[in-house]
Amino acid sequence: MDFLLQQTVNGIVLGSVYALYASGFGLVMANLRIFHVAHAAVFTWGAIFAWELTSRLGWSLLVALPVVAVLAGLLNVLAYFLLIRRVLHRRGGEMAAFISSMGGLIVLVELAHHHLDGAVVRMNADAFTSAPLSIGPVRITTLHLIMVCLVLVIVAVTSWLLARTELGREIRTVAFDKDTAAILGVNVDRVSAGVFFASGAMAGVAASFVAIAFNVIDAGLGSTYLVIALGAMVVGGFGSVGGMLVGGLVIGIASTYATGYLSSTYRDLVVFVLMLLFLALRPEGLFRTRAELTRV
Amino acid sequence: MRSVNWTRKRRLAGAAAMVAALLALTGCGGPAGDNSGAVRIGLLANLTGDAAMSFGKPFERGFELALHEAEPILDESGVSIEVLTEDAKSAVPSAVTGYNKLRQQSVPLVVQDSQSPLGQAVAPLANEDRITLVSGAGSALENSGGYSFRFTDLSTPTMSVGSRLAEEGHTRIGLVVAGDNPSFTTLAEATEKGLPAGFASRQEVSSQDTDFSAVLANLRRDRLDAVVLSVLPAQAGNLILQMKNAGEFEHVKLIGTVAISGETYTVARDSARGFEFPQVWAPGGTNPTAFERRYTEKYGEVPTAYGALGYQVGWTTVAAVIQAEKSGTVDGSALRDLLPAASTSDLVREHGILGLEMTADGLAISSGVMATFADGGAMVLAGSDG
Repeated sequence: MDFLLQQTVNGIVLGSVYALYASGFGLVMANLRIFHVAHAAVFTWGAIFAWELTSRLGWSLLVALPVVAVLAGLLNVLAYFLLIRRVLHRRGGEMAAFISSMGGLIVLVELAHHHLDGAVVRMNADAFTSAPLSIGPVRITTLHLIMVCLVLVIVAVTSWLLARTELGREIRTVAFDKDTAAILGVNVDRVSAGVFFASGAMAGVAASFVAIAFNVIDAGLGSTYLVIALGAMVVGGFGSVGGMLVGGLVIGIASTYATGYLSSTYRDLVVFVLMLLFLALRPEGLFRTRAELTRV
Repeated sequence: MRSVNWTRKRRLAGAAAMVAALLALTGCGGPAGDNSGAVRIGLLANLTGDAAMSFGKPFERGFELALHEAEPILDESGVSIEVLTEDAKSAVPSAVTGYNKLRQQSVPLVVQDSQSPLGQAVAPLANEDRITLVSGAGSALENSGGYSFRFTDLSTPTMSVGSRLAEEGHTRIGLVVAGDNPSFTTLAEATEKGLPAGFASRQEVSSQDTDFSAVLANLRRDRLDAVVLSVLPAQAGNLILQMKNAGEFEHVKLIGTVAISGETYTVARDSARGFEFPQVWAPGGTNPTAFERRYTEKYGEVPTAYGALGYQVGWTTVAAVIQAEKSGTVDGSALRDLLPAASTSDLVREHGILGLEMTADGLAISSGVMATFADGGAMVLAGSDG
C-alpha cells in the first residue's frame, strides 16, 4: 500500500507539469479553436530562458520564474501576431493558422537549436536546492512539493479569472463567437493576445520546472511533451482548464504506474491506449458540458 | 513537323545539360578523383547530438592527434593519409548519409566512433561495398564479408565489475538499464555474469527518459546495497542526481559501465563523487603518459577513454595503411586483411597506449581499469582491474 501511495504521489508530481503545459495549449484551443503547435517551441524557449537566467546570470529558480513566465508569454503573443492573427480571418482560417503555427514551431525549434549550438544543456544545480522530505510513508522532495502547489495555484487562479471576472467573460465571449464578440464591443485582438500571453506564461513555468527537475534542455524539449499534452487534453476535455489539470494528473499517474508496476518500456503504450480508449468511449473527455467552447 | 523535332531535340539537349550541371554541382557524377596521391580514409564521428560530448568529440581528437604524430613516420614510408570527416549526428539516418558520402569519395576504410545502432546500420553497407569498417559499436555487427571490426571489448572489463562487487560483500545488487539500446543490455548481461546471484532488481528505462521517480521508488522497495547503471553517461548523471535528491540512497554503492564518461560528472557534479565504473583507459596514473600530456596541451582538456581509443585506432589505421602501401594495394580488402596484425604491430605497441587487439573475426580484446571522478570531475584510476 505504501508503494502504491508513493507511486501515486510520483504520478501527481509528473502529472502536474503535464497539466500546466496542456492547460496553456487548451486555453488557446478554446479561445480561437486552433491547434497552436508552436506552443511546444514556446515551452522549449521557456526552458532556455530559465537556463539563461539561472545558469548564466546566476539567479535562483524562484526569482527567475516570473521573468521566464513574462518572456515566454511575450514570445507567444509575438507568435499570435506573426503567425495566427493574419491568417485567421481568411477562408479556412483555422487550418491556415494550424499550418502557420507549424511553420512557427519549425522556425523556433531551429532557432533554439542554433542558440544551444545543437547541445543538451543543464540547469545550474545551485538554482534550487532541493531536499528530501518524508510525509508518512511517502518520500518527496521540496522541489516536487513546490511544483505541485504552484501548478495548483496557477490552474485555480486561471479558472477563477475565466469564470468570475470581466476579462474571463470577454474571453468566453470570443471563444463562443469572435465576430459576435467584436460586435458587442470586445477587443478580440486584445483578448486573444491576453490568452496567448497566459498560455505562453504557463508553458514557461512548466518548462522551468521540467528543466530543473529532469535536468535536460535541448531544442526538441517542447516537442517531446507535445503528445503528452494532447493526451491530457483528450482525457480532460478540450478547452477546460480544470479538465486539463485532471487530464494531466491522470496521464502522469498512468505513466508512473506503468513504470512502477510493469516497465518503463510499457509507459507510452499505456498512455496511448488510455488516450485511444477516451477517444473511442468518451471523446468529449472527463468534463462533459453542453457547449465545449464555453467551458473555459 | 521537322521544326517540332528540332524543338524537342533542343529541349532534350537542354535538359541533359541541366542534369549534367546538377550532377556536377552535387557531386553525384561518381567517385571524386584524387590527384594528391594521399590515401583517403573516412571518419564517421558523432560530432553533434547526444553522443558528441562523451564519444564523438574526444574520439575525433584522439584520432587526429595520432595521425598528426604519425606524420614523420608516414613521410618516411612515403605515405600520405587524408582524413575525410562526416558528422553522424548521433542518429542512424545521418550516419548512413555520412557513410554514403564517404563511399562516394572512394575511401577504403571508415572509422566510426560509437553507438551500436549506427554501427549496425552502416556495417551491412560496408560489407557490401568492400569498405573496411572500424567501429566502436558495443554490440555485434553484420560481418558477412569480414569487413566489420569492433574496437570495443565491453565484456572483459565489465565482467570484472560483477566479481568485484561480490568480493566487496554486496549481495543485493540492482540494475538500471537503457533497454532500447542493445549496447547497454549487452553490458548489463556481461556484468551479471560476474555476479554469483544475479541482479536482485532490474529496472528498464528508455534512453530518452528524464524522470526516474517511479524507478527510484522501485529500487528503494527492493532494498539494495548496490546499483549498476547501464545507461548513457548523461542519463547516469541524472539518475545519480535524482537519487541524491530523493534521499535513502546514501549507503547504496553506485557502479557504472565502460560507457560512462565525463558527461556523467557534468550532469551530477559532486553527487558523482564515489561513483565507480570500468574504463578501457583512465588518466591520472602516477606517471602521466606522453599521450595524456600532448592531448591536454593540444585540446585544453584531459583525455577520456574515448580520446584514448581514438588515439589507439588512429595508430592502428596508420600501421595498416603503411603495410597496405608496402604490399602495393590500398583498398578495403587489403586493409581488412592487414588490420588484425596492424593492431598488435610493433608500431602500435610503441606508440599506442592500450592493450587492444582486433581479431580477424571482427572482435576486440582489451583489458581495463576501474575509474572514478576526482574533484572537479577529472576521471582518475580507482584501481587496476580486468
